[in-house]
Amino acid sequence: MATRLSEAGIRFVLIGGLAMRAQGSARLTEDLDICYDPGPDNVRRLASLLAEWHANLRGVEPGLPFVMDERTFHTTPVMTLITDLGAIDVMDEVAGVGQWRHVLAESEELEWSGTRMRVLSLPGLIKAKRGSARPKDLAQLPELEALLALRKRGA
Amino acid sequence: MATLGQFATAVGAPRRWVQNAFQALDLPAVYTEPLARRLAFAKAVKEACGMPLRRAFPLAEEALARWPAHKTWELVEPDGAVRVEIDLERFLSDYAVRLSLSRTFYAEKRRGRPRKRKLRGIALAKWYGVDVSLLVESLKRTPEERLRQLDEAVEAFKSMRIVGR
Repeated sequence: MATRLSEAGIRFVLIGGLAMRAQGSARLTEDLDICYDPGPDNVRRLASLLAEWHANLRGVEPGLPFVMDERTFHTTPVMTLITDLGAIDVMDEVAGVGQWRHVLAESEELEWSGTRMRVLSLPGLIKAKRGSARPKDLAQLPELEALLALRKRGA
Repeated sequence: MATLGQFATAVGAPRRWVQNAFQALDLPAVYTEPLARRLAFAKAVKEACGMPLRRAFPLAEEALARWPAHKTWELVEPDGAVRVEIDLERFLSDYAVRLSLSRTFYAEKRRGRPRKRKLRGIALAKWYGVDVSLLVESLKRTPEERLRQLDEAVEAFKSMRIVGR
């Protein structure tokens, strides 16, 4: 899914579990979390691709309508979705890091399956986990801190 | 709906606004999904034409009952000076996004002393930050499908490489 987003020319930074994995964590993740550039052209492309993948909301009862388009992104820039390709969480800012430009500044370039994309750096991930109120995220901090320490030691 | 914070997220309003609305409407502090939907609609009407919440709230039930047979709800004031039209599909879609977030993404801020009541099962997982909707999606697949997906993911991770800033 991440490579397809990248190939479609969508500007995003990988965050969450996949970013942790890219930075050396041994954890596996069920979903893709991205922070996207909220520029109109980028949102248009992202909404169009998600609509193509039949994106729908997670955790709501059937019967409620869902319109995947740019207007929905403007009203609610954070969404937790399930698509034909899997689960994806999209957001325009990351708690503890900031808005898109801050997230981009905290990112590194990742090559994955022959495609280049941006991924949140280890210090950025630590800030994000600290900025989260969820015990699950706070519990992941020791692993990230250890990875940072190992990297500083040149491991 | 479990908490005031989740309810406020679904309504699309600050907690204080919700508390004031409950007081103005003489509602008991029971945070249910249908009530969140109704209050969100009343809020939309209030914001669109300045109608007091006490008047907009009873209208919400009637308006929401029109979906899906009718795509819009229209209000024309008796003097004809004010006319409000709400796109029900768009309203419900926006509401559904907020409802989804309140159940999958929202995290309660922990204040004061730890709770005495012990949480169990799904409630404990949600408190911890587990996105239960992901587990629900995972359980829709067979064990074989889940393991195959894991294999594919592990294979895909092998080609990850940080190449620079």
